[in-house]
Formats: sequence, structure tokens, C-alpha cells
Amino acid sequence: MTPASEKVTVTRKERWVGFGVLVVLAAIALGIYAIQFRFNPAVTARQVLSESPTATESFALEDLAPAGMQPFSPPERFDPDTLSDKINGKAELYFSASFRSLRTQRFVLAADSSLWFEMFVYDMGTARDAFSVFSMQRRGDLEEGGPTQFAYATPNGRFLAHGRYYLELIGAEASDSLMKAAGDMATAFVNRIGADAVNLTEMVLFPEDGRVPGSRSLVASDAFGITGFSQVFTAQYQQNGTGLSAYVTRRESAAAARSTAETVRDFYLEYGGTSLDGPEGVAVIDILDTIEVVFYQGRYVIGVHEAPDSETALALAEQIRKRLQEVGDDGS
Amino acid sequence: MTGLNRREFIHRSVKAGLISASALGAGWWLHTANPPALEPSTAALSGIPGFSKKPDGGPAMAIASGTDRGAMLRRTLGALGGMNRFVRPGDRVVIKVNAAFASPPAISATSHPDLVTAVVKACREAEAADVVVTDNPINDPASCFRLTGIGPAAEAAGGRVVLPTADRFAAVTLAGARLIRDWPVLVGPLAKADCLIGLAPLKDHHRSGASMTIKNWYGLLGGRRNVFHQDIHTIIAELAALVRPTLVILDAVSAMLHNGPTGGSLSDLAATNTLVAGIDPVAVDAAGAGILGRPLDQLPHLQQAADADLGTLDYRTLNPVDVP
Repeated sequence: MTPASEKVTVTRKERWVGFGVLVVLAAIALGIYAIQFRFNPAVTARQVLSESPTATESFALEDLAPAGMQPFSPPERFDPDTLSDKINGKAELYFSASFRSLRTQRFVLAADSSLWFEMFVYDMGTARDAFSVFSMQRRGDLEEGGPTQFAYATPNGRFLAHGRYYLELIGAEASDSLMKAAGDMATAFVNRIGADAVNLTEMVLFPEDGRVPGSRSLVASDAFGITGFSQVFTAQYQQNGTGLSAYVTRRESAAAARSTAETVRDFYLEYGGTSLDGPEGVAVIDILDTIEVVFYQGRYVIGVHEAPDSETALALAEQIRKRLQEVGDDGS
Repeated sequence: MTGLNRREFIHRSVKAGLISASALGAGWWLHTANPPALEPSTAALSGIPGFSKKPDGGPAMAIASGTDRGAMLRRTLGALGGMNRFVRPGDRVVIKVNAAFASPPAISATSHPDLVTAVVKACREAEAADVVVTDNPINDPASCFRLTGIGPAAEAAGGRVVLPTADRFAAVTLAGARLIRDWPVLVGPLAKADCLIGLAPLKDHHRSGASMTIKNWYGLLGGRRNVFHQDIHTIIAELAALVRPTLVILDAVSAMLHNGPTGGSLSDLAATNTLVAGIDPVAVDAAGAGILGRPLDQLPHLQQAADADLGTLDYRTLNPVDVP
């Protein structure tokens, strides 16, 4: 070992070698810096966010699992940027209803590894939006005695809206024991979240007579193909063997409601409809041998879609108007 | 503090550098310029290989009825002249399944494992040298192949599952295309293949109206492909031009009529009890649209593909063989 104090002469060759080493190190650093921006798209396409609990997500889904069920996969969480990585083409349905986040996890019966279900918890931000995605995908009648007022069961699934959440529990098979566990887990979720305070004024405006059970829905955007016709509650009716729809939507003000009613009227007239005589302030349009009726009352737009005749359409619309007068606009 | 001076530091640095250079040199020496799988390329490929066979006068399409997918496939292939018409001894076959979601086979969101088994076996019986089953799923690939039952079915029948690892993608540009330009495509499994068979379930689709054999090629795309949902019909029509398969098979035994493409409930399904196979994907999908109850004017991508001379919408003109 050469003493540190000994004077050493650095040769020209050594200086260049040292310089070369530094250049190589700098090149490596630059290379690392450059390569970090070149993400492989095949990898980034399946990016899944790590769990980041919020106030309403302070519990793990596996905490809700009933006895005999155990996690079958790790929990996953998706946001608006990554939802398509989970449900692909159906993501737009959720985006139109102000989707916030999705948590999922699979659970399996400990006694039978072939019996598993996946739990999807969509946070839609508001009860209206949760009801919207629930109603737009509804497969059957509402479940009497379900864990919430908006719940139904199919042979391999449990589906429900609760507050701002929309839940799906999808089973690998139509198994009684599996669906019992799924139902228990849905109930546990509802109990954990707390009271369901959903009270949607528009829902009660549709008269029951002739209404198809479980047909009330909330179309988040572009109802009946009319651009911008959003947040529209609809219900299906059967009258004298003919199907028709009624709809109601609330706007911020009476002026906005009038503008929306005019937009709907103009849409049908633009596409070949013919204006018919009707009560004052009510647009009655014949288009493709069906009748459209639309008008506004206060800040509500009320309408009937594809009715077989004017009398049927106007009678149903009038029932909704009267119901609105009875119920009043409580703003809920 | 040691007494290391500058000279000694440089000497040691040179030695370390020589060792590092030796390691790098060994790596360079062992590196092969012709790997078995396609390397990622900075220069976009101009399309992908075509796999359609020259017209031989044989039937172009067959439609079978029933509920047993294996039996229906055998009858359909028999009507088309047998798998030997498409797969020759020694051929390397790629089967592009729909393994998009990690969901159970019961909900028909993905290719059914029974049909995967039947197709792989048919290829093996035709003496294929290699049968690869692949897809680039939406969800985690390993989970998708496992939970759908596709992976176990393929391997049990003599196939080989190839997962979409990063090294199997390359940038591709389709001439004249608006969307498929310098876009990552799962070309690795296709690089040395002789035949490409598409295997798709018949489904409703929230954006495109229907998901059938042409939409199934969407699973060859990498990257953030969900951006294409804003122009879904154009991307499907471009996929029809990009991918020219040997054979496509549309599984409509249990069609997803509602809530596609994910579905979720058995209530979304209908027993349509049909299997369609053919060499013209546009014609096969046109037949599928009829089964699904979708008017063709609601599926613009099929019209666009037909307008581009990629197939015929009037599938009846192909005289499809009806197999009872």
C-alpha cells in the first residue's frame, strides 16, 4: 500500500483511462434515464392500482366473507383510467354514470374449490348513479326481501344497489350453497356500510297500473338516442297488449326543463315526426306510426315514448303529472 | 480511511472494467440474432402474415345445430372437408381464443373449454406439429387462462398455451389504416405459424353491438387499446383487414344476448344451439348477427369490412352447409 502522503505522478495514459471510466459511467446513467420512459404497452395495459382505502373503503372485502368462504385471489382496485382493464367494453356504461372506482376479489368455498364467485363493488359516487348502472343491466324482477330495496338474484349471481355502491357477486356455477354465501356477503356489505337513504322522487311518479314490474330505470345519458338527454328515469308499460314507455327527468330550473322538452320535441320533428293537436303546452308527435308526448311541469320533463295512440299517451302522461302534483318536488 | 491513491484507484477500476467487459462480451457472444420469438422492434412491421388458404372449391361455411360442442365441431369440420383441408401434417397451428376475462366458462364470456379441446384435438389428429393457444386478455393472462378453463383444456388436448409476454409484441402498421399504426400486436406466436384459427363466442357488446370472430382479433392488440372504443367499428374493420385467418369458428351454442361483453348472469344467455365455421369471417359474423338478433345496419364494422372486399355480408350466397 502506498502511503497517502507519497506524491504520485499521474501519467497521461492513466488520466485518459480515468476519463474513459467516467464517460462509461455517465453513458450508463444516461441509458438508465432514457430507458425508464419506454414502458412496454403490453404491461402498462394491465396496470392495476394498489389498494388505497378511503373513508368508505376502510375495510377489506375479505372481512365480509362468511364462514366457509376464503379469498381465491388478491383484492384489486380500478379507477376511471384502468376500469377498461377489468371490464373492457362495458366500461363506458359506468363512465356515463360518473364511475369513481371498482374493488374486486374472488372467494371460494373452502369445501369445494370449483365453487367460487367474484365480488365487484362499484363506487358510483351517488345513489342515483348507482341505481342507474343497476337498472340498466337488470336481468329480472327485484328480489322480495333482498338486502336492499334495489336487489335481484339470478341462478348464479346477486346484484344490488346500496347507497353510492353497485354490487355484483358472480358465481362460477348456479350453486345453492355458493349463492347462499354470496347473499350473506352482500348482506354483510350492506350492514357494514349502513342505512340506505335512497329516496328518488322520480321513481314514485310512475303509476303502478300497467307498469311492467322491475322496469323502472335511470338512463344516465343520451336516452332514446337523443344526445344530451341525460338522467332520465323510464318505466315500461303494457296496455291492451301494447308496450310503451314513460319517462321523467328533473332539471335545475323550470327554464332548463322547458329547454329540454323543446330539445326532445325538435329531435322527433327533425327525424320525420308530424306534430299533432294536443293540450296546451304538450307536444304530441306522430313518428313511424307511434306517438311521442313531451312537456314540462315546473323543473320536471314528462313524456311518453312509442305509444300506440294519442289517447293512451296523453292519459299516461296526465297520470304522471297528477302524481307529481301530489308528491311535490322535494328535491331528493 | 485507507491509503488508496489515485493510481491504485485507476488500476483497480481498470481491472473491474475488464471483468465487467468480459461479462458483457460473454452476453454478446451468447446473444442470438434469430430468437425463436419475435423480438420487440422499433420499426413497425407492415401488417402480419396472412393465413387464408387459396380457394380450392370446397365449402366455405358450415352451420351445425346441437348442444354438444365437440360433436358439433366434428360434424362442421366434416361438412367443410375435414381439418386436413386446413391443417397439413407438420403444420404449426395458432388458435386465437377469447380468454378476455378471468370468468367462469358457465357465463360464456370467453371461449368454451369443450370447444377448445375439440379444436386442439382436431388439429392434432390432422398431424399438426405444434398447436399454440393464445390471447392477450383484458385481465391477468394467467388467471384468465386458468379460470376460464381454456388453459387446462388446451394442454390436456395436446396444445400449448402461450401467454402474451412483452417479448411477443411488435409494433405493426396496417397500410391505409387510420388506427392500426405503429401499434403493438401479439405477433410472436404467429411468426412461424402455418395456420391461424379464430375461436370466438357469440356475444352482445355494449360498444360494438356484437362480439364475434372479427372482434375476437381485438385480443391480438396490445397497449392501451381501450382508446379504440371511441371508434370501435373502424378498429374492428381494420382488424378484419389485418388478420386473414385460415378458419374461424363462432360458438353460438349459448349466446350472450344482453350485458356483453362481460355478462355475468346465466340470465344473459340464450340456448341458441348453433356452431358456425367458415373461411370468410365477414360471412360467419353476418350469420352470427342473425342468431344474435342484430340487424346488420347496427353493425357498421361488418359493412365496412364487406365494402373493403374482405368478405361477404350475404352469407347465403356461400351456400353454407347446414349440418343437423
